[in-house]
Amino acid sequence: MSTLPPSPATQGVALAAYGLAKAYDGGLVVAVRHADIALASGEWVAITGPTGCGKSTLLSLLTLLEPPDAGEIVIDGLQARALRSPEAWRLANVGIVFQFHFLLPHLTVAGNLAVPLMATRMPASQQQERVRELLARLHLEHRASTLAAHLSGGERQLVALGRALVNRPRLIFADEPTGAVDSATGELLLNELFSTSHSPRPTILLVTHDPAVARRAHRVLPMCDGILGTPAGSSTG
Amino acid sequence: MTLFHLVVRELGRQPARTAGCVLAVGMGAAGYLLLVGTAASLADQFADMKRLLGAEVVVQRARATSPFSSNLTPEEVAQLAALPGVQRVSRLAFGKTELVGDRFFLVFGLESDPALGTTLRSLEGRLPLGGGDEAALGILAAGRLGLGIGSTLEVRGRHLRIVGVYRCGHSLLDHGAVLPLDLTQRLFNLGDRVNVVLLRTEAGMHPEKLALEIGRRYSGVEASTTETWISMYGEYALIESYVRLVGLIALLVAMLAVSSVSQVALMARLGELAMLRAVGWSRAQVGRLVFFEALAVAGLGGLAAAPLGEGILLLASPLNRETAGFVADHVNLGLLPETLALTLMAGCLGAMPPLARVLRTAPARVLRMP
Repeated sequence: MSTLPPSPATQGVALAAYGLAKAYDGGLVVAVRHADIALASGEWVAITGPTGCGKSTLLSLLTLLEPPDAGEIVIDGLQARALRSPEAWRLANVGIVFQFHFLLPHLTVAGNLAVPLMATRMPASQQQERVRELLARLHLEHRASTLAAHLSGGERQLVALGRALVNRPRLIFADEPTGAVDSATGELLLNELFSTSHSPRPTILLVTHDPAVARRAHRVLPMCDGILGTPAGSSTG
Repeated sequence: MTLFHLVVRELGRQPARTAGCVLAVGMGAAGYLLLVGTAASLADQFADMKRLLGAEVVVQRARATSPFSSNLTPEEVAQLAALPGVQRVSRLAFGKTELVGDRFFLVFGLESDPALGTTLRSLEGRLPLGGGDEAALGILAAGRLGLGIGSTLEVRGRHLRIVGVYRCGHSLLDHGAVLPLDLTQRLFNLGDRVNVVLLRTEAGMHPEKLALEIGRRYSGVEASTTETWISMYGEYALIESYVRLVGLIALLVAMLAVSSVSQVALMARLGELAMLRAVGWSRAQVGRLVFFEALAVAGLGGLAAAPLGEGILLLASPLNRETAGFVADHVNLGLLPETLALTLMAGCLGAMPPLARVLRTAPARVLRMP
């Protein structure tokens, strides 16, 4: 297990959101209700709660994968809605680990790691160097040329983690990263996630329903029925 | 790893699907290539006819629906020959018959004409002489029927000795036979009549003026300049437009093939494409990936058009005989760039509907599903 970094309470705010709300099906399904959250630079935060409580939706809103119905997201002091391209912001600043890996099965491990870099103007040699570094860090050098389709479930999730780290993000969002792997692989994944050491130390927001995983964070925010920061209670499913 | 690598890997992901799609596009493109090639060949053939006829004015019976149904009497021919400004008159008779293995065999009855020697691009042996049961075969007919100089050609029960094999470059003539005029008249029951008369004008005589003068003097005949006469029967510009339209429909079918295959393929990859957007690929970059995949399939299909077209022509060669050679024996390679460009355009258009659907889909929704 990695060591907790010093408390970030005094550091700058990397991302904040105020009054976020999101509903689907014409308002019938309310996923997030007036969520307020602030993530300090370098802070590790876990959001816990039962399945269906709105954790993943909140993550989607904070990563600008979908717009909120209400509320404001502020990134480095700027309103997110003022961003010209959420994709460009994610490419430069964000790494996302999805619950399901979404690797490209016809690409090799190295190819999958390089996918985010393909969207940049980074020279090929530098891309290869980044990929080599990650392969070494994740102990996947021997699998570099293996097609993703031929990997085990744990290896796939490890590659998905590598893909999230390859652009050295300031913000890492992980949605149930250990949800689909065995406990040993889950432990390995979390160790790698929390030992991310590139500079500046990334802010990590982890969504999990596993209290043991949540305990690794500086701060744990419970979520229930779309409401963030209230004690966990009954689930809407 | 570049976009090119990604496209190549994607195409190799489901080789059977890719091959099927390339084949579908290739067949559409081959259809276009063959149809437009045939139209172009037809246009060339008609354009070449003026050189072959070697005359400025053509005269036939007024209101005749075709040269076959036209007939002119010797008196009319004599009157035409006596007109001022007419240098020479050539009489022509046509016959259409069936041979074994050939249901549309054209016979051209020509009178001995020294100018004809210059029309023929090559001649082995000689042209038939009037008064004899002789024939000269077009080179394509000779090849098709397996006959040569010294062989016998049976036309309407009459055995004709082949005395020459010619090539003039015009498929109608090269697929037929030249007989002496008198023999053609007898074989096809024309009596002493001919179907068409060709007039060569004297220097200084304007062909249009001569044609108008003939029309004014003789109401029973119809005189036209050679160009006008050819265009009466060879509405090749219209045919070409029509055939191009049919060719474009073939390409449209190819486009729909790309579109439907892309649709299926992209819907199966929604999660992957959403992931690309999530990791920072812009809409334009995802669009480029999808477009390049479609372009690659369309391009390969376009390139496959030539060999597929050759294959289709080979399979259709027995039918080709019935067209008297109007369908080219080989693919017109000069049309390949045009076909390729249109195929690529069809591929791009075909990729648009599925791409629009992909870009409309919110990544967040897809990424929550396994």
